[in-house]
Order: sequence, then structure tokens, then C-alpha cells
Amino acid sequence: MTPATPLTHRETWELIPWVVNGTATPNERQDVERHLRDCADCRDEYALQMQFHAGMNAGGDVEHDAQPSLRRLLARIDTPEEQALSADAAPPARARWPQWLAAAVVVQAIGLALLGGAQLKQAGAPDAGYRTLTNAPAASAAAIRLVPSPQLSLTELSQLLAAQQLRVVEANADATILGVAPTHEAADVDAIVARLRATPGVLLAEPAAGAAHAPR
Amino acid sequence: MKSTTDIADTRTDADAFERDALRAVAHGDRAAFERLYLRHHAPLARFIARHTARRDLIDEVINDTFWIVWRKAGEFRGDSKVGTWIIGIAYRCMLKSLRSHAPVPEAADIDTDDALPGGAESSESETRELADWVRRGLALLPPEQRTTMELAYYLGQSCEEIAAIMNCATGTVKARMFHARLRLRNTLPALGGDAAQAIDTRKQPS
Repeated sequence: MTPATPLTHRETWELIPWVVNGTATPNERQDVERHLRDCADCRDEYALQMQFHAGMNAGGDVEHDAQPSLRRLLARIDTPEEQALSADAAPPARARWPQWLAAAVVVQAIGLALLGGAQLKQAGAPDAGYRTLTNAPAASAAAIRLVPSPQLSLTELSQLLAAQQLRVVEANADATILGVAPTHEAADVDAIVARLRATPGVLLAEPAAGAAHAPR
Repeated sequence: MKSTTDIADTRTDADAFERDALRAVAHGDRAAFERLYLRHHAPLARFIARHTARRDLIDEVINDTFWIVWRKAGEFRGDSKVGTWIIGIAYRCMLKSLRSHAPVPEAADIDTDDALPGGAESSESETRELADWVRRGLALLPPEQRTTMELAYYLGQSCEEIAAIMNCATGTVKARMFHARLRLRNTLPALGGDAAQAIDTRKQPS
């Protein structure tokens, strides 16, 4: 604001507290002082605010020794962080559970765990005879699933298995689907499967490893 | 009264000192922390004492304030003076503390007589009368107006600093100050005393 535009009463009134407490800018202070020279009303208000300022800073001193409070604060700072945090986070005393109630909850939890275990054990029993599509198949000794032709005689089947060095390890109820395995471990299953597929009288030959489980 | 330049220089020097101290506090400097604490304890205690007579609450608010200062010193962004930052923390701690405790009489009701024993000099008596007169006038103000005046006249904060402390616009601070002064001007003469006689019945500014 330039000296050419003197402050109004209102502007002066608003600035007076900040002149009184020393936080007005030098320009604001000069403008206010210039207005006060010619305005008795604002001089009166300035004097009144000076009185308020003096009155708020006089008498009623709270003589308060800071050292004991400081020592308490330093002790609080020296408290390990975890303790301070747990103390801060601790619920009010009236919200804490009685010890007997906590013990009862622990006993109840142990009982529920035992009961749950027994239920699971019972539930597991019928699983041996009941399988869903998402059940993992049981491990099988069969390496190849083999479906011989119904016209293939037992002798021919025996000769066929002997030629490929295979033995029957499992079969379904009517022996139409066989699970077979090489008689020696080093055999190449894929090669055997390929030879079986080329053999007359074999309807199906496929590796059974992993998914092999002879249907019953 | 000090010149404006002297006051400004003093405030600048004080803030530079406190910024150095706060930087040291951020690095765990206990001595710097104690200097800051002792420097602010008395004015904060008196400011808080205007709202509660309980010494334990006053200590609690100050220590909660400096607990935050100790932990957050490294987060001070320098947007304000260090003193204003600390007063802002104290103001919020005080509001929180006062909300959780029943209101109690102001400390000044008790302390004024203790501070000035019987047989005091005439000037001391006048000072006490002036302080009592202002205190009774302030008690008539709404809390926001009263705090605005206390921050300005007791803790020497600027309009912008008070806005930061009270988390409001500078226009709000100006309005609160305006209405506080108007109400004091209208009510203080009725409270009597020599100081009241100095107030005439001139109208508010146009």
C-alpha cells in the first residue's frame, strides 16, 4: 500500500492488533501510525489494545518448575519403543478380560481342536471307497493301461505280455481293462506302449504313470 | 517499546536458533531437545493454564507436545517458525486433553493472588487489577475468539501463524479478532476498574 492511499478506519482497526503484538510488517506499521496521527478514535482503540496486551502479559504468572516434568518426559523417551507402543495401545483397564475368562477361552479352544480332529478322522474313513473327480488318484503299480480285444484268448494275451516282458498288476472287475507293468524296472514304457499299439488284438495301450489307476 | 525492526530481528534470530536446535533434535541431540523444552515450557504452561487449573494436565499437555516434537522433529518442513509449529502441536494436544477431562476453573483464579502477596506496591496492585479485568473480559468470549486473542497477545503470533495453528483461513482469524475486540469493548466497562474508565463509548470503525 502506498502513502498516497491512506488507510481507512476499518483497515486501521484490523491492523492494530498486529502492530500491538509486533507482527505487522514495517509498511503496515507506518501506515497505521500515519492514520493514528489524525484519528482520535483509532488512537483510542490502539491504546485499548495496548492495555489488553499489557493485561494479558501481567500478573497471574504460573510459576512452574519445568525440570520435574522434563525428567519425566526424558524417562518416557528412554522407555523402549515397544513398551511405549504397547502402553499406548493397551486398552483401558476396565476393558481387560479377567484372568479366569482368558483361561476358560484357552481350555475351550483346546477342546474344539480335539473335537475337530476326531471329526476329521471319522470323515476320512469312507474316503477309501468313495472318490470324487477332484480327489488325487492313489498311487498305482501299473505303468501301462491296456485294453485287450475281447476276441483275444487268455493264451494269446499271456504270450503278448510275455513278449513285451509285462505282467498284470491290477484289473477292473471283469478284467476287460488291465494295469500292466514291465517285469524289469529299466524298461522303456513309451517304447512298449508303441509296440503294444502295433500289436493286433490290442484296443488301447497308454502310459498309466501318474494318472494310472485301474478302474474297478 | 522495541522498534519494529528490532522485534523482527529478534524473532528471526530466535527462529534461526530454534531451527538449528530442531535439526539437532532430529538427530537425537538430547541437549538441544532440553533447550527447546525449557525455552517453551513457561509460555506454554501459562497459555494452557488459561484453560485449566490442573497442574497435572498442564504438564501432561506440554509433555505430550514435546513427545511429538521428539518423534517428529525430522518431519518439520520449515513452512512456519519452529515456535509456531510447537504451539500448533500444543494447541491440538490441549484441545484433545480438555475434551477428555471435565472443565475446571482457570489457573489465574488461583494464581493471581499467590503471585502478588498482600502489601504489594501500588503499581503492582494496578497491574493485578488490569490483569484481572482483562481475564474476566476474555472469559466472556467464545473459545475461538478468546484463543485467537491469547495467541496474538500472549504468545505473539501473527495473523498467518494463528491461521496455521488453528487450521483456519487468515480471514477467519481477522474476523474472530474483530468480533472479540468488539465484544470486549462493549462488555469491559461494565466490569469496572480504572482501566474500564479509559474506554469511552465511541462507536466501532466505519
